[in-house]
Amino acid sequence: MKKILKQSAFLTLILMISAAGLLAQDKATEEEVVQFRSLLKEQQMSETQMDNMVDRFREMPKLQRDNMMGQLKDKVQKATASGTAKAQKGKSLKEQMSDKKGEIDGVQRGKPKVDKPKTETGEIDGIQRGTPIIDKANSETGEIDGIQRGENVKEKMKDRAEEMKSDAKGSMEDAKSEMSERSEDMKGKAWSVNKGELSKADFGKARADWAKNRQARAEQMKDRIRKSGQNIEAAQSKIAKARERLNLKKESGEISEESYYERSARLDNIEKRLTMLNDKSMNELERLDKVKSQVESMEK
Amino acid sequence: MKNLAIIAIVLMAAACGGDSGISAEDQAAQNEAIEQINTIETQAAELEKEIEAVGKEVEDINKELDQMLKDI
Repeated sequence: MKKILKQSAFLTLILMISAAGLLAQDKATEEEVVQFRSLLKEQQMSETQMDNMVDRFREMPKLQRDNMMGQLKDKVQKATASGTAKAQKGKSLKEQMSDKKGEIDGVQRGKPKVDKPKTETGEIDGIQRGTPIIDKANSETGEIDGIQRGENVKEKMKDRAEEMKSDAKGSMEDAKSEMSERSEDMKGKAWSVNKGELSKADFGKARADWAKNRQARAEQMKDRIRKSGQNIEAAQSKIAKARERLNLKKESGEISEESYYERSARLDNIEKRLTMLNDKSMNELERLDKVKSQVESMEK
Repeated sequence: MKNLAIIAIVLMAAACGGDSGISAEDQAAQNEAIEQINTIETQAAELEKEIEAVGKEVEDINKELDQMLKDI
């Protein structure tokens, strides 16, 4: 009897340890929390809001956490892309080049690269400032992804996480094709972390495909630089030709001195612009080689 | 012996209970690779835009010069 009691006590202890292990496994790691917080920071949230969100994040199941991180990353990347596009629009290359000392493509040196998306209403991609994402979902319909208030939210969330997990497994093939599509069409688009759990081999294949495509595109970019170099040379010979003609016309008295100086000044200006563009082209070539070697290192 | 078997079963169940996908180590490695790919992609996209802009400006200059040569 004593032995049975001892055994059952021992078993209970083991079960408790296992349960604790299970719970610990499902909780957010400190690394995840730090990453999540940095993403929130980029969304320009107040400390209180961030703490609130981080607390909620800690309590979420892994899949939901991954999903949320993926969404946030996508938002930050979109914001970066739109920020860069905005900066480019309405500015001539010359202005952009002259800005280069302090600013590159609208991004100030010493400042984080991500432009914070701002609107007049204080909304960030539809999320109002001062309203945590989940509260926002609550505020209008009283639902969080279809879960009504008053119901056991935690249980529903668990069910939903399970549902998502099975969905993720079911759409493994979709995820694989998405990855290969992405590798074929990586026009500045970013990969999202945790989108589909690919096996090591599948992921390796997707990465190799990406590297192959990226190298091919790097070659296209190199060709474009070469073409620009040829056009620069052609422009330089045109300048020489124009100067020659201009001198002949001046000597023969066909054009006035004023017109001669005006046209000469224009040619000087064009020549300066060409020198700058040539330098820029050289710089682009160096940077392109750097990108290519980075891609090569990813292939290994 | 019996106890040890029970412990082993319980621990195995605990280990398998959380996630049935790829290992956390592999996931971390994948995430790291994705981060690197995204960094490269961002750099490449910026570079691509700049290359395009330079090419376009050089073409514009050539057109301007062609016009000038006609005028002179």
